[in-house]
Amino acid sequence: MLKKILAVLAASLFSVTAALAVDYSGKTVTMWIPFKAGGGSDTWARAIGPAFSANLPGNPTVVVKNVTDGKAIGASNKYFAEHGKDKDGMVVFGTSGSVQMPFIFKDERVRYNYKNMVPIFASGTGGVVYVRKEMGVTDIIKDFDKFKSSKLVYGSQGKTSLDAVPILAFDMMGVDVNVVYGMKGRKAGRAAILRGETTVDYQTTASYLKHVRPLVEKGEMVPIMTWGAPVGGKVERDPNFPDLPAFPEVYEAVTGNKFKGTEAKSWTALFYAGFATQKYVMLPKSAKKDVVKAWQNAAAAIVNDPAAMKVLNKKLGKYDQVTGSKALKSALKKATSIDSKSEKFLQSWKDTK
Amino acid sequence: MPPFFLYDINIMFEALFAALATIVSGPSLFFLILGVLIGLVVGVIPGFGGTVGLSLLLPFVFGMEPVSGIAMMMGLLSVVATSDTFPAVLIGVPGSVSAQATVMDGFPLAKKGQAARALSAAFFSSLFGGLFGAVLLTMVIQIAKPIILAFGTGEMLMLAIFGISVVGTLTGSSIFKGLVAACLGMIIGCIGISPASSEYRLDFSTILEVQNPVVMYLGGGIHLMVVAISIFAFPEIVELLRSNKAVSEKAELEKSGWFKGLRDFLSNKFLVLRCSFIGSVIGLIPGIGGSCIDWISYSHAKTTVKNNENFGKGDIRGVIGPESSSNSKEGGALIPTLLFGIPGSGGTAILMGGLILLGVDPGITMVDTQLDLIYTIIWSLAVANIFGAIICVAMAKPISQLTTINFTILAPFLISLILFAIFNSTRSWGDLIFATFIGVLAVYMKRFDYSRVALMIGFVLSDSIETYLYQTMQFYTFSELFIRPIFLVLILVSAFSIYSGIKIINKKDKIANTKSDVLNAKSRPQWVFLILLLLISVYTVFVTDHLQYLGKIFPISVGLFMLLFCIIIGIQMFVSKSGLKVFHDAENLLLGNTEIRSQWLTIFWFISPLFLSVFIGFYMSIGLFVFIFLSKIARVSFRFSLISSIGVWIALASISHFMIMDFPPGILQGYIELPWPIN
Repeated sequence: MLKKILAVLAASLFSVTAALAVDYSGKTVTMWIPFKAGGGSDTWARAIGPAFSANLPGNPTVVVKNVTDGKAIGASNKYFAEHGKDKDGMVVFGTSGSVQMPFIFKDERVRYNYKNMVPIFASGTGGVVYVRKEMGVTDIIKDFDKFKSSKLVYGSQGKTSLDAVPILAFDMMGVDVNVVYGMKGRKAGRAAILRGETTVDYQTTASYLKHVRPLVEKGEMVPIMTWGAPVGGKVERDPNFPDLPAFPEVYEAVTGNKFKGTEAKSWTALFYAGFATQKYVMLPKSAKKDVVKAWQNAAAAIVNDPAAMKVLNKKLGKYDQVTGSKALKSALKKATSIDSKSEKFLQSWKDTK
Repeated sequence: MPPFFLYDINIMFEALFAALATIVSGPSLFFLILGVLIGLVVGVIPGFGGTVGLSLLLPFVFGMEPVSGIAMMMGLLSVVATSDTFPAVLIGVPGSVSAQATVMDGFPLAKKGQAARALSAAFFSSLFGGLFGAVLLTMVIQIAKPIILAFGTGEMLMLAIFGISVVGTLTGSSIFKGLVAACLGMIIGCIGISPASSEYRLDFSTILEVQNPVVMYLGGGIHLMVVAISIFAFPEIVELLRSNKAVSEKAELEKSGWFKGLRDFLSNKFLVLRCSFIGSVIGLIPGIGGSCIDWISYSHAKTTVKNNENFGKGDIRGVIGPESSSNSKEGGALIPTLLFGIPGSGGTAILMGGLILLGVDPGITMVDTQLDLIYTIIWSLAVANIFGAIICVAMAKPISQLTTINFTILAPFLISLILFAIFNSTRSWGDLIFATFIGVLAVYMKRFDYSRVALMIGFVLSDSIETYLYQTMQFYTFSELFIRPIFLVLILVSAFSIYSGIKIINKKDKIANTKSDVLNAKSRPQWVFLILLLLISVYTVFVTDHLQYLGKIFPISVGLFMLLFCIIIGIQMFVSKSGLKVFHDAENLLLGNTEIRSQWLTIFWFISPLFLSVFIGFYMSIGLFVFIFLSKIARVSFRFSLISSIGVWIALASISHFMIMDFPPGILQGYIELPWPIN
């Protein structure tokens, strides 16, 4: 009995000190964003920054620090060099698909390792593929022959960027798409299809809703499929676009194969890294347990805060914001790890053409 | 949406004036002026442009009432291109990207004691340009869609080529030296990730480890401001330091101040109008970017006015031209931003981020559903321009007094400011190191008359030319291209620009042969410099050879051209006797002057704070540098030196605090944990 009481006492004492230990009052917490100000990740960080401030113990000031030294890879390396062993959670790291992709493709410049990170919060998005009206394709599955025989031109940022997802998807469907590189971001891709220089394009959900849907209503563009959304362990139809088929579904219909095997696995890995859970707030693994706990609790509170969620939904579309230790861990694993067979496949795929 | 001429004009005007009322009443006016004031400061500090300024505002914008937020951001964005003229004219350092070309004639005017005149002429031109942009935006926002979409990659390629073609009109006396400089600029522009094949180029990864800091830095490419500041400011400051005088060669400034500037502005009204037009039209097309507009309008001014011999030596029209266009481009750049959500300049890109934070998503539906907000933006642009210009004109005269102070006293502050501005580009040691390399190179380019402007233009357009050349070849066949009318018009424009360039150079030829600066030229340093350039071109060809076809074709072609031009210059130097223009050496002009300081000594002063920072970190080193320089070299009182260095420390600390910025640490900081801001 005495032992039990002592144990309870000790435990409560411990939790009291733990609660005392994490108190950010009067402090300034930094969100390290390896992208320049004004971009997608920056806007995302600045939207969730105040929400974290309101929900962390002691309500610290949360500031966004844009680090651009050496672009996304260099700035992420720098975070690890400078804060990779921090314990107090004063500087958290915000990543995006452009940080995950080089990690998956094993770019030799990468010196960060997602295995040494603890995820706090993750935001996902989706993507919609659309074509110009003149192509005459309205349903990609029914009109697949027409789609396949059309002049297909896609404007891309590069094969090891987020564009790996569409390019691999086109390859898997067996359609011959002329991929023109050198686009500066998805905005440039959209400009090119507006001018009629490209004929097929995709946009992330928020951008699609804002910029492409009005054109669809005017009859200039036609949406044909989405990349899908994670439901359970599978990639299913995107709930934002229930009428559009998701890529795995299209693949099965047009090739007659099951969505299985190395190619499908590789594509799914890229999809998770680039879309399903694209943006993460993370702490280094060295952070104290109660620090991680405090941050994860704050993240859970944000999801229940309608004002903060309104901004996030607007920015990223209505997708799940992942919180909670378990869900985050499995999401991060999916977004950043890849089996050796798929990895080998992607390495050789990257070097073709 | 009905076409413009069917659109109910009354409704439009009603909305237009309702928007004006919202802007000038209530809290939005306060926020507008706040934005204007921040914008003026941001523009004056070299290295901080609208892009940096707006990103500073973003955290405050979040949660503001939309109209006030828009007013504040627009206030800032509209005046940066006005106030960035101050450092360009007074010290020859562009305050932001859009003042590059203003340096060309503005700074020589300051040397003549006419800084106030140059400044106020610039401000009036800038004001007009800004208003022109606002009017254009109002008129065409509803009909601009087909115009913007008519500019495909082929047209953008031709625009970039047109940009390069102005090199001829701006280059010095030797066309080949100008071409070598342009090639060098393009090679510097190739550093980093290649647009077509996503490979790393010219980052020394062939000889160093990929994770070497140098390779990592170069992998991101060299930032525009690093090149712009080091190429223009470094040689000017070194030269001023050597002669140990004030900027203005006259002790007394000219009496007439802003009124003379206004007169200059009025008597060149058609030039202002033309350049404003050029600025907004090029700004309208996303993809070319604002950085070459100033050069295009500078070249336009130079080729279209009568008696252009004094361009580059202090012709007021060389200030008026680029200043009218640099501000009118913002109005143009806003059109694709608001219409498609595709920003036309760096500043508007961040503005768009800010608008999204305010809950205003720019895009195609905005014209139909939120026309009132568009008019709010337009009015903010116009009103802010008026406020900004009034404030700047009022300050022109007193601030131009700075040009009468002995330069050696100003130098430590300027050097600190410049090093800080360079460091702020990507906040990396690499910025400082490569700026020093380019700066030293620029000193010799200036001395031997290799056009620095040509290098800058080559650098700015390198990426556009490569990307659009590659994309145009993919998108179009030859026959498709040559039926596009805008493409053909642009070919004609470029051809005309090359023709006038050749005409100007021929004219120079006749004058140059009699100049005294080529007499007694020593040829050894010239040969050393030429061989260095030649080695750079050979190096470029060799280290890019292993890349994919699409990654190497551009740098290799540029490298080979540069090699060819170097060889031609070599032959010219070999066969011609000394005394010909190819041996131009500005050093000779200074030979008679015995009070001159040695070139390397002044270069050493410039980079000594960097050496110091290797050991004790950037922050401490800058303050110490100011103190030592003032007390030992400028020989001012101990008290003044001490107060100045503490002032610099306080200024840097507050910037570090507000901008969430760490300064590069030194070896010392690696061993000892030090408190903010020394860490």
